[in-house]
Amino acid sequence: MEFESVIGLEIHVQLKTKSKMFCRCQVAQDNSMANTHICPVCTGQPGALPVLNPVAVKTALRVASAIKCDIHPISVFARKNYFYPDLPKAYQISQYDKPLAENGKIELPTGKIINIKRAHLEEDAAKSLHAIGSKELDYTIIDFNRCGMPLLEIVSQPDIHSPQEAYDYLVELKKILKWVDASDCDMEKGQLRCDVNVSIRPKGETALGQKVEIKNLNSFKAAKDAIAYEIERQKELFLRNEKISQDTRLWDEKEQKTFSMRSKEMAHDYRYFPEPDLPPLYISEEEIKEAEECIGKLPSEIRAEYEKLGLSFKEACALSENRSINIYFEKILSLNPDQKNLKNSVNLIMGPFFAKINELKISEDEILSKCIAPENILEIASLISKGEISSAAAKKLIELCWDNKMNPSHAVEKYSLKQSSDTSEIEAWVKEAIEGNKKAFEDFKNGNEKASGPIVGFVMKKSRGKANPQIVNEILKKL
Amino acid sequence: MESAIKAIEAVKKKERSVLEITSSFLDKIKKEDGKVKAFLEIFESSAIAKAKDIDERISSGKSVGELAGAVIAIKDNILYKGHEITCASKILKGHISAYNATVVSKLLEKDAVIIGRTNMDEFAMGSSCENSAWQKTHNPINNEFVPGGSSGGSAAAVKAGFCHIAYGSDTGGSIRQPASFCGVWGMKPTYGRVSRYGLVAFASSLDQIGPIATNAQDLLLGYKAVKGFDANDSTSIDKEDEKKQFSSLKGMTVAIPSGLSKHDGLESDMAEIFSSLPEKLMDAGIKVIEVDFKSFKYALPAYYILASSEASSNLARFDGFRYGMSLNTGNLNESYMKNRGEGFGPEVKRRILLGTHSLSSGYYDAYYLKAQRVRNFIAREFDEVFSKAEIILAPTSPTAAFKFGERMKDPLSMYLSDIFTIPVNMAGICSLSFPYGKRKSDNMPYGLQIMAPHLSDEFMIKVAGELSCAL
Repeated sequence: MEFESVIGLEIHVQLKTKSKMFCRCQVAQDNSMANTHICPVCTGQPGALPVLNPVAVKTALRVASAIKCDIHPISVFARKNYFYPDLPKAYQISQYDKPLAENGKIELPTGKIINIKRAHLEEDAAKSLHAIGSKELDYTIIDFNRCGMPLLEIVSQPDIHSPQEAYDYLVELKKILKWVDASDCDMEKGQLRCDVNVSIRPKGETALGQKVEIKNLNSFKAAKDAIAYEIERQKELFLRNEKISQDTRLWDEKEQKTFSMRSKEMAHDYRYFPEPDLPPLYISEEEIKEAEECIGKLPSEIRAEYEKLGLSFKEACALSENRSINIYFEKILSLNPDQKNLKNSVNLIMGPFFAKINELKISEDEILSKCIAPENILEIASLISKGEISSAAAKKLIELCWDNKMNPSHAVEKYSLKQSSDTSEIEAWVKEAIEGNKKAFEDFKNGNEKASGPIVGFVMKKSRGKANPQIVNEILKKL
Repeated sequence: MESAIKAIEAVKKKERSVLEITSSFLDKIKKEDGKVKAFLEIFESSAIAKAKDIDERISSGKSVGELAGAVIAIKDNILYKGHEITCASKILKGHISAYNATVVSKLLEKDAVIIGRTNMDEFAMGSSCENSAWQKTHNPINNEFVPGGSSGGSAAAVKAGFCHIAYGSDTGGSIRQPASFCGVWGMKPTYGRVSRYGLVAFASSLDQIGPIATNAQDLLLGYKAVKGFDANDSTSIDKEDEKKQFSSLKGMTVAIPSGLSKHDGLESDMAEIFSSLPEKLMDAGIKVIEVDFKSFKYALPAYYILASSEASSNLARFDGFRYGMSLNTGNLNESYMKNRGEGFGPEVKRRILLGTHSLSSGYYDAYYLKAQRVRNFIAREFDEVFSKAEIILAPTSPTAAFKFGERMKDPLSMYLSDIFTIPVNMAGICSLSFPYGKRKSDNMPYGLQIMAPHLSDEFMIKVAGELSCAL
């Protein structure tokens, strides 16, 4: 029997703001002491009242706009009531029947569209700690630094049909969130959290199967693995004619298994009702426009444009991976309006440039300040186009000019990197090479193009990379 | 008793010191509050310190605030930093306020002396102060009667002469009804006019802090001292002062609800007083229109759904972990049950249960949503009446003060005490109660309630002041 899996994802993103969602507490740094960024409001003191942080709304609007949602001119905060020690008011301020935004979509690199059901604002709970370092406690301690941090919950439609597609969706969503500077999306720091809903149904069936929720997946890979496991588990139950129960499950990373956290009977009744301490949230058309203008083009749109320029899918992806690299590349495009040196520039970035970034562990934020200038990349590309340097020399030039203290033309002179197109000189080298590689030359003459490898290699070595490979080939063919 | 305004004047003229005034109140409280039991705590040392500080500034020629000389009491649900606050509930026993309510900050900035915190029904739920976990407050007029509630301690303190002005909170009548029972003035400002920051919430969309005083001038002073926009309260109104100015009673139009005497629970003496009111108004040159108010009929049940729903959520934070009582057993759910089971009194539990049920999945539409629609209806009805009349007059409560224990066994009879005050909170408009007439059998006072449109608070107080003289 063939099955189709139906998957929906709920993502919680911690929005990058300086202060919390409903109070003026500064957001804690990673190294902050526990319970140092708290106040009467975020610890739920009697009499304290929430006041909305407008920056959180602005940030959320950028996301909502980037995922093409309809943004509601009026949305309403609601209380989600439940008792838990990490929730000091015993309710979370969230949005329920009137969320900030609905009906969005995200285009995956495969071209598939995943529809977004809704995106709404809410506040984070405190952090429960059950151990100090490796020492397990027989009680729970609570750090309220996280309590009241702004979150945006993004709920997809159940348009996802495989673990890989879920993974792709997460990657794309993360890219967008970073793109609009809404979050750093560090899952280890809890800035991005993911819950998934999984159900299966026999292929061709239209009714949805019983869905199971898996919570607290702490990496994209965990999400993918948990979904894959859950699909198999449900298939087995189905085939054994056993009931799939409406559980909330957790993923056990070590065992690579999901296990039940609570059954439907234990599910909370959250008793949502409109938050009386906050007026409705009004969003003007100007605010929506401002968000749109602030985002500009999206990675998927830029990707499509680059492909039209003749870049490969891989190149288009890499050059729209994040804002910094994209700004860097756009600079090259603008300095090079006729796009004459485009291909060579792209090759330089994809090859030696990225290699150098990895080697020096340069972060996204540093790309525009700590790398070789786009002007210099373009100059090197142009030197290649003109046949003045070889690609090996280009790589060396990137090294030499990385700190921008020397311009590439100067470096070419200083380190004699100019490619030799002097036919007589090259012919002498080729002849010498043939002497040492007679067999290879024979094969080449007999039509084995690849056999030229050792000969060309010898010439490049002898010329210390300066021989123009094109001319080497021409001479070789003539001889 | 000397009014706040007179005391402030005397201080200004250096006829009396703030310490003298404060000490005389402290002495009176020490002598007489044993019988009244209006206060849960006297803030003697901070009150004296504040009084001395003000006097020192006066004697050294420095400026002082406009309330220098006024002595104030606050209800036990308004936070005063460094002082205990309990909402008359066991569950908050020992809790020390970590910050000042905006109202308290304003009072202190204006150099009022805050003399103590007053008794109330637990979490402001009740109409007699009998729901206090700590003590029964007696009506200063006659010890056998309740002072009303929930701000019964504040009303009793003012009536007994323990302070110039006392602040209460009014969710469904909790300032006006005790003011009426104690024969003093009590005001519920327009919703959003006075910051709720630092008021322990009962029902957030209805709660409003307001003053209780012995006369209209002090009431106005007490209102103006605390009103105004507060960035810490998102429901606070960010608007300029009201435009409507009072000139004269003559030519005004007053609306009076018709058919009230038939209303369940309206005492015959009050019915009589009220039925003779139109004539008196007309004698004063006021036009009277009778209005068939549906709000009075529907407001009460809708109010108990909405207020209890919000309360069930607002009171959920009292779980014994962070403040007040802590009876933790080592097991989370057991601790919740033990703390809340032992910490809350029966009326609070009743309302938490009612509210929790009203919000439950499957019942929300039938209760909460429907009640919300009734609320909108009430607001529209008031709008309509205010398009024809400048104010509305009604009894504050159907009866004068009742005796202890009389209504404790039947919560519904207790709830009826607020039948005329509740519509005001549902619509968010302003209202006040002033003494008007007495019950013949025991001379206990009645209150007349004046209701006015949003943001016409000062106008309303002035109208009431004139009316109380004219009628």
